[in-house]
Amino acid sequence: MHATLIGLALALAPGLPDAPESVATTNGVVVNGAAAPVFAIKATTVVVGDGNVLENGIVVIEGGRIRDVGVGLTLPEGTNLVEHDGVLTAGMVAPQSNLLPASERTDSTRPFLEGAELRFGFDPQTQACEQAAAAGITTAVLTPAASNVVGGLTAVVKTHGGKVVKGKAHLALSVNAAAANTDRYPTSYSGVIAELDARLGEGAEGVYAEARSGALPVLIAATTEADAQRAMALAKRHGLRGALLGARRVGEQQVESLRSSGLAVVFDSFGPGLGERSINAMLAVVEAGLPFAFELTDATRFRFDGAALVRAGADADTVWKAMTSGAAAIAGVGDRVGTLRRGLDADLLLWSGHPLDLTSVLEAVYVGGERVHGGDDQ
Amino acid sequence: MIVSTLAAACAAVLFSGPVAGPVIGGVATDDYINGVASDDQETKRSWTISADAIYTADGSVIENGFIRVQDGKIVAMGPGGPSGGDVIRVGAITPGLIDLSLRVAASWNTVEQGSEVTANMRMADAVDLFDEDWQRALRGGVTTALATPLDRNVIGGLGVALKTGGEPTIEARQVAADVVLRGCVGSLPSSGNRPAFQRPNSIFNRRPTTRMGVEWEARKAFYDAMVAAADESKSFPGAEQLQAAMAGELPFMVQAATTQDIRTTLFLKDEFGIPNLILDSAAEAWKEPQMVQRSGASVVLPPFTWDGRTDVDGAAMPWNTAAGLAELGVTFALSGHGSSEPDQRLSMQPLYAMRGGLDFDTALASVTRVPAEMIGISDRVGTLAIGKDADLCLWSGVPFEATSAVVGVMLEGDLVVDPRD
Amino acid sequence: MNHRTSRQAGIGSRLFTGIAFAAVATAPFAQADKLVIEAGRIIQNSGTEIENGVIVVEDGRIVAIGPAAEVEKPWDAPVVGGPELVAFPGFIEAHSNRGMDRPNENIDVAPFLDVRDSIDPINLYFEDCLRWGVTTINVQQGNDTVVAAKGRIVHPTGMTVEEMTVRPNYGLKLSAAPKRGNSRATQAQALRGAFGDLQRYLEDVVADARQGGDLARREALYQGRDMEGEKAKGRAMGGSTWKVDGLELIPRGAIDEQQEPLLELVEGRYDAFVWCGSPRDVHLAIDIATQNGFLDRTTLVLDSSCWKAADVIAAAGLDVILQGSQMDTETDPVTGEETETFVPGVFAEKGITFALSSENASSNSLWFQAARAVAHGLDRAAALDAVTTTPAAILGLGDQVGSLEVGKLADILLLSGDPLSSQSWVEHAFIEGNHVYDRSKDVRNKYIFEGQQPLGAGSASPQGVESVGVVEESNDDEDAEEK
Repeated sequence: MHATLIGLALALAPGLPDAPESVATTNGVVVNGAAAPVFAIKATTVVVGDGNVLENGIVVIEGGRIRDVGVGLTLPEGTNLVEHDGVLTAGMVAPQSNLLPASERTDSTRPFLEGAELRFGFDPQTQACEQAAAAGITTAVLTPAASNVVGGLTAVVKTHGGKVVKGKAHLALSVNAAAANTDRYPTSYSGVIAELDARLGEGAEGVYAEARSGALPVLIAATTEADAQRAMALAKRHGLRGALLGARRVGEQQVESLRSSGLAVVFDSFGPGLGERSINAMLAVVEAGLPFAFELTDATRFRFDGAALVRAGADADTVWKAMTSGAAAIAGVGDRVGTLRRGLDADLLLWSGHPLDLTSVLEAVYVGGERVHGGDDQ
Repeated sequence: MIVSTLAAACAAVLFSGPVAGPVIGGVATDDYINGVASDDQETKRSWTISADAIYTADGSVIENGFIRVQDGKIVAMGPGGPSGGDVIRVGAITPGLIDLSLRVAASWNTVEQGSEVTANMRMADAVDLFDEDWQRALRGGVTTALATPLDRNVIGGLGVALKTGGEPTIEARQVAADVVLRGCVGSLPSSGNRPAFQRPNSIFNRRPTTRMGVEWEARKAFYDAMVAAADESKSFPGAEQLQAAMAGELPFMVQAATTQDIRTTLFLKDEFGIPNLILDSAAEAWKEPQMVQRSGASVVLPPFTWDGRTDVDGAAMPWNTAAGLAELGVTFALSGHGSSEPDQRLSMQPLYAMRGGLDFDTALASVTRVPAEMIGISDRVGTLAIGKDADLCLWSGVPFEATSAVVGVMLEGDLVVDPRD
Repeated sequence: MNHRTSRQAGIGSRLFTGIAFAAVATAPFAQADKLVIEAGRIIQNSGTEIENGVIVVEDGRIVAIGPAAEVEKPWDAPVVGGPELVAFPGFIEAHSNRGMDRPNENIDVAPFLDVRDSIDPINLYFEDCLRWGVTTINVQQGNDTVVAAKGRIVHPTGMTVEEMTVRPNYGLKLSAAPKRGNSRATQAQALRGAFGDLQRYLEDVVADARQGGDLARREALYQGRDMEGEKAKGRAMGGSTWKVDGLELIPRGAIDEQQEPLLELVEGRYDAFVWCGSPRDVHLAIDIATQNGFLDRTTLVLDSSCWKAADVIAAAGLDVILQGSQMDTETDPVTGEETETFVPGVFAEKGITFALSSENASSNSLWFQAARAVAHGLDRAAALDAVTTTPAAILGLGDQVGSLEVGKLADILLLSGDPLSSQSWVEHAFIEGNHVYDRSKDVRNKYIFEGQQPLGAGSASPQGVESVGVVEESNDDEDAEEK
């Protein structure tokens, strides 16, 4: 299924007519036709995403992928060069999202839906996807609602173009209050854990066996500290790897537990009104050097959550790395997106300044080498 | 965790200086110095606390004595002892209090209502260690508590004995998991259920809706477990725990407040030969005390109230209830039900019981040693002795007097409430 | 000595023969002209004690007190007490919202009402007061108000409110904390508005009188108010902050009854009890009292959190009554950690005169409050004062009650032990020399504390109980096994 989709997307690019030579300048950004098979972008600052920053770096894009990254690269004859006075980064990644409409994320028929695949509910034509792409979130994980104990198998998708990067990316679990529903079994945390233990324990089968072996990462919805404690204990018992979804308070008293669990945290979207206590707890996770990322609910606010942590004292480059390469690793597609590296998808963002400076403007977005937002089209 | 750097610095001076007290219990002075972290935020690992009286809760009192604590355990204790700047002096020391009916963190999500009998459900999986009530209980001197599922099931599952503070993981806090099988009779297990007249639209369209229904469910559970013991093909989740309760390996702890509910429970005990029964919230045990006495069941009393009305099923409990049970030799513990009212806390309950005629020693035991023995954790907590957990309740004066207060609390060697503040 | 022994043995019968016994608050008074109370220990006040003392009571007052050897006992007086008992002044509740059918009125400004009409003499609260040794109570309307009804000081005994009354028309309750439904600003406005209304009203009636009208007088006559004696006369307005000239033109009896208590307040002729539910309210309370000239006669009734305003209160020189828990708990919004502050300790340290109150719960009666204050570090004398002499002084009854002294009312408790011991009981209570409580006859006490049910309340006898074995026999159908 997803092979077909990828094929479709790849087929699109060469099908387009050659881009005109036209070079227009808007707000200091030089753009060209996006679909050229080989082109390059030179930016004042290139944030590679692995910790390196290149002054006047060049990224060469070919066939929708990154062919080369460096400084003073010799470009092949006739390569279009886009010169950008600003910052070039990889596209942002959301390891948890509400890109699927609520009706497609919630199945109230059974609490255990290990066979459900979220990608079958994916509709790339929705406004949510469009907004995400326009805001620079180029890759997102389709996650189910937390109301089922086992929510299904996630998928990693591009927010523009409908490409499914990875199906069956994670097994989505939930140990929070929503999973302990009051009107069907299980109604208790004990029941939730007992059922998960039974499925993930010795003799696990199918996707549970894959999760137990570590081959299939898990995303565990855990809202409160107590949920996080249960989730980490569960992961420890069964050797699960993956991430907690939600647990924004986990940093307050559980940093060491989190570290030893090996799990990452995907903070739920919080917005500007969040209390100092939660911010401090998240900051503790950042300062402990543990992997974290952010949930996508409202694309226009996604960047603000990262900026809020920076404002509270977190290192901006650390947070940005988490929003790109870090999040890609949590999503399980670190070898495809999140970093500017040869062979990875050319999902690129052109900024007027540092992306976590809220006065910076996102001037252009490329997905798979295709400019999907910004430039003279606006 | 409140440990001042200043205190730690003082400790370093004392133990390295010439005035260091005699080394008791075979612990080298160097160990104390090493254990003192004066420059960083590390927890101080050794303390010496002296008091006008140390009540060990196993019947003895050390007048003007001391306790030395290291790495979370009591390493030395006795009369006299060192004095000096570092030694903490208080009016009295008792073991940290133990509450078998604290009811902390008993949210709706702690009881599995998918069925009315869920003997295999573990509170250890459901308990919320981050509930602020833990902190309050700890500050009130309660260092160990039993957590059980919310009482909405006939048989709710397995309780877990936890320390009230410390690293917030089950491994770090549990004294022992699965220490009791929790049941409930009376009005609560049937309170959310309703009959389905037409099409059932909820899991709550079910039995039991009456007390007799509750009793029937309990009897059926034990009966099915007996059948399962004989024929493995008839086993079911929870059968093992019910069998363990009938074999006496697992105490069966049942909330039964009124006389009729106590009768029902004792009848179950008799019918299925359950050797180890704990009646929780048994407010009306005083009405038919001989019945309780003959049954051999032990009792956990709810908090005393000024008008005698308790919080479960409106059961009445006069203040001489504890004294009356003591007279008949019934084993009982007092409990605080996690009240946020400081005056309802467990540390105040012995005062009320004594106002009702109970003697001091029994009152002390009923909040320390006896509850520990009831759930089989007395090897670690409940009394003060070398090798036991350093869970201490520090008092300003004679415990359980209205003019005395809990001024300090130590949990596994950590001074969580510092009496010098 | 030997005849004391005989008295001790005969205490019950002597009480019966000497003075008519009243089991609880509702029993009628029996007037005893004379009475001798003996006690192994008499605690006159927090600083003075007498070993083996005697108190002689005549016409409801203490006429002599001292060591048994030194006090002459009237030959014709009945003798009560004994060497095992401790005599202590009755506790004084400085402020209570209990004993009324409903403590709060939904009218914002209601000083024309009187708690007399609300007090219920057979309310269990008054019975509890005797059981716990509270002999004088300042009953004020609840805190959910702006300006409340006139209060009243009562004894917890008597069949009618009049019998109970120590001082009628005493104290006006004001609240600086928002009444339910009010914002803080609305509450402040309502309080200020009440005095603004008073001023406008007074100006209007004076203007009317100056023009020859007698509106106020006709209104008063129409309402059937008393217009004789002093009430028929006018008097220039007193008070220290603001005045309305020409008030002498208006007979005092003609002043509208809604305004009259507030006028008394402004003239400094009435005591005010101002409730503050949080430290923010303290400023408003002091402000209103200052602007309207009754700061000198103001006592603040404080919730626990108000300790934070202690400096402001100290600067204003006000006395306070502490309501609510003695431990104030705050949660740090960042760390979530809770810190506790011992409230009476703060006031003691700042040198503010404070009275403890029962938190409006019988279980937290005054002996218990004082004991808990000692537990948390207050010294014993300060704790005892806060439930005896201090509330007496606050209520203007310092020369009447609060300690055991010659000339004061014979409001005396005989306790089984120290007043702050958790094992002590009120064995007997005397109010104005009348024996109003005897624990051995307290039916409700026997039920709550000793599990003895009153007659007709069903059997509680352990002897009437069948064994578990019998229950088993009756249950041989074994429905569980059939299943």
